[in-house]
Amino acid sequence: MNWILVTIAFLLSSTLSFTLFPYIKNWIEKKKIRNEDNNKFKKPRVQSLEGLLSVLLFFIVISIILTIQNFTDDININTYLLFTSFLSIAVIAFIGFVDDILRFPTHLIRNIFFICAIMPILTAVINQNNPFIDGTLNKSNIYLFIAVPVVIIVSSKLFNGVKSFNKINLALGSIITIALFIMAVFEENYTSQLILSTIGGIIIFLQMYNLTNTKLSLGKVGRFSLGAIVACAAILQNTIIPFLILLIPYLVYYFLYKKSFDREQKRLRSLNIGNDSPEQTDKFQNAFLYLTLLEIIFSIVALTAYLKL
Amino acid sequence: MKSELFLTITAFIISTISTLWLVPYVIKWHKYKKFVVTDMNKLDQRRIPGLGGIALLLSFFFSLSAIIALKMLFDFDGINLVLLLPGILSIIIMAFVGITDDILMFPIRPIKPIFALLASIPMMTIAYGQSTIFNVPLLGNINLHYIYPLIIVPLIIVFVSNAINIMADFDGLMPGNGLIISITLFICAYLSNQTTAMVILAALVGALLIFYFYNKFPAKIFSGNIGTLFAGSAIAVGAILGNLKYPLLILMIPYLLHLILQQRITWDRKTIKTRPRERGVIDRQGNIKSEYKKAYGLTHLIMQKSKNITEKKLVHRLMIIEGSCAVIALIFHTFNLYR
Repeated sequence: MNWILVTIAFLLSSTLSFTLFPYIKNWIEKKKIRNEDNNKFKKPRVQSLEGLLSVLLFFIVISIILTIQNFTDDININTYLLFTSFLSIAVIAFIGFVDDILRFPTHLIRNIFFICAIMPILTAVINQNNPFIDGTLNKSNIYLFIAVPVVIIVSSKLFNGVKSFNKINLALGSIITIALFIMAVFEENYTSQLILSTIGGIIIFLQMYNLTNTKLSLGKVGRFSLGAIVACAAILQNTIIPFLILLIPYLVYYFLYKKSFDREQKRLRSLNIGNDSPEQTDKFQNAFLYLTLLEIIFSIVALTAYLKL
Repeated sequence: MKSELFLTITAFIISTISTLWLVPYVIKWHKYKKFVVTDMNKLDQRRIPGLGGIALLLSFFFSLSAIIALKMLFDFDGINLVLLLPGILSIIIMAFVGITDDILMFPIRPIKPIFALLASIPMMTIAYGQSTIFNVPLLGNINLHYIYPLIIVPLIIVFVSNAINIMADFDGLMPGNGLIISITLFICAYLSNQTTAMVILAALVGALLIFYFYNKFPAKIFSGNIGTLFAGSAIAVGAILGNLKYPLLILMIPYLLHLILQQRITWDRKTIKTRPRERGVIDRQGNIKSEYKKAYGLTHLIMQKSKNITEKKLVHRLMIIEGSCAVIALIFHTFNLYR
C-alpha cells in the first residue's frame, strides 16, 4: 500500500504538472510578471513565477495523499512528520513569493523568518540520532539547533544562488531528488519517499519542458521551496551527510562559475550586447553539462557514503 | 494551568510587539515598491498599501514559532503540537491562497473556495480524533461519524475565511470584528481549558489589536485578501481545535445574515455571476450611501436604514452588532445553554 501511495504521488504530480502548466503559464503571462533573461542576446522577458506552479502542485498532491491515507490503516506514513516538513516548506515558499513580488529590503527580516520556518521540522527530528557524533557525547541539541537549520537555509540559498540558470537548477535538483529517493528506499522511510516522489514528478516534467530552451523561470518561490523540500526530505530520513555531499556541485558553481559569469555578464551589458552569441552559448552549455556530470558523480559518491556509513 | 497561561501571554506579547515592528515597515516597503491600492470609500481616492496581511501573518507565525521552540526546549504541558502544527499549516495555505489572489487574481471565482478546501485538509486529518457527537436542538445527541471531519470541518474553514473576506471593505471592519470574535473565542477556550486553541487565538488577538490602529478610519494600510483569509482561517482553526463550534456559530450570525442578503441579487438578476459591490457612494459631507435600492448585504441594510452615516459610524455599528453576538455567545458558553 505504501508503494502504491508513493507511485500515485509521482503520477499525480507529473500528470497535474503536464495538464495545469499551460493554464498557469497563460494566467501568469496575463499579469505580466516577468524578468529579463540576461543570458540571451536579446534579453527576452521571461515569466518569473513558474515556481508557484511547483509549490501549488506540491500542496495539492500532498493534500490528496493525506486525504487518501485517512481512509486506510495499512500505511506507514508518519502524518506528523509530513505535516512538520509541509509547514516548513510552505513558510519558506511564502517568504520566497513575498520576496519575488515585493523584494525584502534587507536580508535580516528574510533570515529571521527563515529561522522561524525551520521550527516545525525541528520538532520532528528531536528524537533522531545525531549523525555527526556517535557515542557518549550528548550534543544532540547542537545538532538540532545548529545543523538542521543550517542545512535547510544553506540548501535553499544554494538553489536560489543559481538564479540565472534555471536549467541547471532543475537538472541538479532532479539528480539530488533521485539520489535521496534511493536512500529513502533503503531507509524504508515512506514519508520521505512521498515528499521526494511528489517533487520529483513536478521537476522532471519542468526540466523536460525547459530542456531545449529556457521557457520558464522558477522565481524565488520555486528555488527556495525546491531547496527546502530536498533538505527536509534529507533531514527526515536522517541522511544529512550524503545530502551535504550532493550539494558540492552547487558550491563548485558558486566558487568557480558564478563570479566569472557575473563578471562576463557585466562586461557584455556595458557593451550593450547579450551573451547568447554562439561562443557564449557554448560556454553556458558546457557549464550546464559539466555541472550535471559532476552532480551525477557526487550522487554516486553520496550513495556509497550512505551505504558505508 | 500556570504554564498554559505563561505560553498564552508569551504568544500575545510576541505577536503584539512583532506586529508593532512589522506594520510600519510593511507600509514603508509598499510605498517604496509602489504597491498601493485605491481607497474607494474616500472622496480623494487616496492610494494606500494593500498587503498589510503580510505583517499580520508573519508576526502570527513568528509568535507561534517561538511557542514551538519553548515547548521543545522546556516541554511545557498543555500544548499539543500534533494539533497545533496542522492548524498553522491550514492557516499558512489559506494565506498563500490570499496573496496569490492579491497579486495574480484567480481567473475564475470557484478556484478560491477550492483552494480553501485544500487548506482544510490538515484540519480534516486531525479532526478524526475529535468528538463527533453533536447536540442539535429538538433532535438531541447526534453522532456525525465521518460527516464531521469530511464535511463539517472544511465547511467551517471555507465559510469563516470567505465570510470575513467578503465583509472587509471598510476601514477597521476586519480587524475590529476579528478582534471581537477572537477575544470571545479565547475566553471560551480558557473556560474550557483548551490551551492549543488559546495560544493560536492569543497570537491572533495580539496581531489584530495592533493592526486595528493602523487599519481604523482613515486607514493607513489595508489587509488585502491575504489578511482577511488569514484572520478567517485562524479563527476557524482556533474554534475547531478548541471544540468551540457553537460559540463560533453565534459569532458568525452577522456574517451569515450578510451572505444571505447578498444572495438576493442572484434571485433579482437571475444570474449567479453577479455579486453586489460592498462599497457605497460617498457624498461631499463624507456620508456613505448604498448604490442599490435593495439591501444586498448587512452593510447595505445599515446604510439604507440610517440617513447620514459615515464610514466610521458604519463600522462602529457593525462592531456593536458583532459585540452583541459575542455577549450572547459568552452567556451561552458560560452557562452551557446549548442543550
